[in-house]
Amino acid sequence: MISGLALAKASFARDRAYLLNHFINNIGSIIFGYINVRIWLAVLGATPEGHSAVTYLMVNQAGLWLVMFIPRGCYIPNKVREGTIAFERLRPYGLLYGSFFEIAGHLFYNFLFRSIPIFLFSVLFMGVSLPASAQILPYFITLFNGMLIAFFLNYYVGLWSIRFISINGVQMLYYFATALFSGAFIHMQYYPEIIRKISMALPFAYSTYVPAAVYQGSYPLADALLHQGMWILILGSLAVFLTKQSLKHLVIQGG
Amino acid sequence: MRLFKILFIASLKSQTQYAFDFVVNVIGNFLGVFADFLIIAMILIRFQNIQGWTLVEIAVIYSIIEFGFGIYRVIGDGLNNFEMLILSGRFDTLLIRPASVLGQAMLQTVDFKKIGLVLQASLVGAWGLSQIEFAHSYAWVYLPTLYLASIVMNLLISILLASTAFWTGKNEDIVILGHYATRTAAQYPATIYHKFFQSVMTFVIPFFTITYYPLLFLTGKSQQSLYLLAPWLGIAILTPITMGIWKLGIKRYSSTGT
Repeated sequence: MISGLALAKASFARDRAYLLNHFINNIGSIIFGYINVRIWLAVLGATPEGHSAVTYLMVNQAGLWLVMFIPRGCYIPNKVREGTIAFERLRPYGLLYGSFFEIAGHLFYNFLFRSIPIFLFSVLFMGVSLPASAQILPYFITLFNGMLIAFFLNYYVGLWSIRFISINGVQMLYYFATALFSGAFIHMQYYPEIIRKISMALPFAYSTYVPAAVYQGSYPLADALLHQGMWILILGSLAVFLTKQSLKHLVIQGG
Repeated sequence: MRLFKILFIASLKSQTQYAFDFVVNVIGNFLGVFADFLIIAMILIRFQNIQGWTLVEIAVIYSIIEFGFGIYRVIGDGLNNFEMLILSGRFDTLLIRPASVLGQAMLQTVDFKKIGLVLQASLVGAWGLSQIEFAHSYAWVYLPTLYLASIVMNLLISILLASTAFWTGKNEDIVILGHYATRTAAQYPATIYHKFFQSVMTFVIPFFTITYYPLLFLTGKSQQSLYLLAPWLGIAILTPITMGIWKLGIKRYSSTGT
């Protein structure tokens, strides 16, 4: 556990070095959010429904840095390409454990320096509603679960690199599935019925849609915890299994 | 030209060496960006139009901007990763060769894996154009020039933004802000945004000049035929500014390599 925390701390410190770049990136993220907000205001108007859509979108936009834009393949592809994954194999902990804490440090940084500034901007200048006090803790719990789900999905992309080296294509496929099925850019209530059903049968919505819906009080916490817990169990077990399988095929690059 | 041909063939050979990876990449690039259009489509299937613009019309706008972006990503990958040239000091080697520095920077590799971006834009465009009703019959003659203008505009903006690396070193976030965000914004009608943002998208990063304004006239939403000149006016103004900043950047460049 101590080594895990040390990994998280190092990951946090590494990100901290690029703070100014990340603030510029936050402006880009706010503009992407602004574009989405303007689309929804154009179709829904300045109505309570429109206002609710703005809150949903910007809560998700702030949360994207925790549940979608996780470093490609949880840093594993870089280690594979450079051959430094050999050193990872010598460490007294597994690849899954190491990746988890590295990403944990990165996500904690993102929470402080990306999600919170974007969220605050949204509240101050874009009319985003604060959650009801009873929803604050449930939101953070479901957001944490969403981060775990997103971590496992990105970790699979990392494992792909052990087998196939290049991850660009599979990373884009991941983006496709996340963009379409997570509800990050459209509230599930506006999805065509068939796509809504497909989305709710896949893990992506439980990392993005569910926390935002809990924030707005439109998804019961008990259901959220049950569904997210189920996905964490499935994805986590699969991650353990796939790690063992993938490492059998590990080839150390470089020399 | 001969140099480009050699590079073209070498890139194709190296990238198709691993067929499985190549195919996954093309499909991934196709679907990854196509998701953006599916999201637009879902919104418009539900709400019919965005301020009078139908799904078919927005599909055409989308295809114009994305086609140009896709071609740029195929032939201009060097510009997309320009900061790496500057940070590693490898830009030095481009300065001492007897060939255009910009051409070398841009054509370091031809990324055929990005052809998926062009394919999805072409498919969306083909669908949109098969359904759209233009107010003027000559729109069909004019339209190819818009796709061409999109390529030129995307390249100019990428050169402009790549130049910032001469001053800032790392510029990935500036590229995301200045190119990726604005290109996404250009997929929708200008009127959904505030006046200030419309002005930025018309005069600073002038993507609206190749999408919104010409389509406004071609679809009969405006009688202002001068809008047809907007793409070429935008390019005519942006070109000397971009090249000026690029040259200024080269003068300012000091090596960071060993």
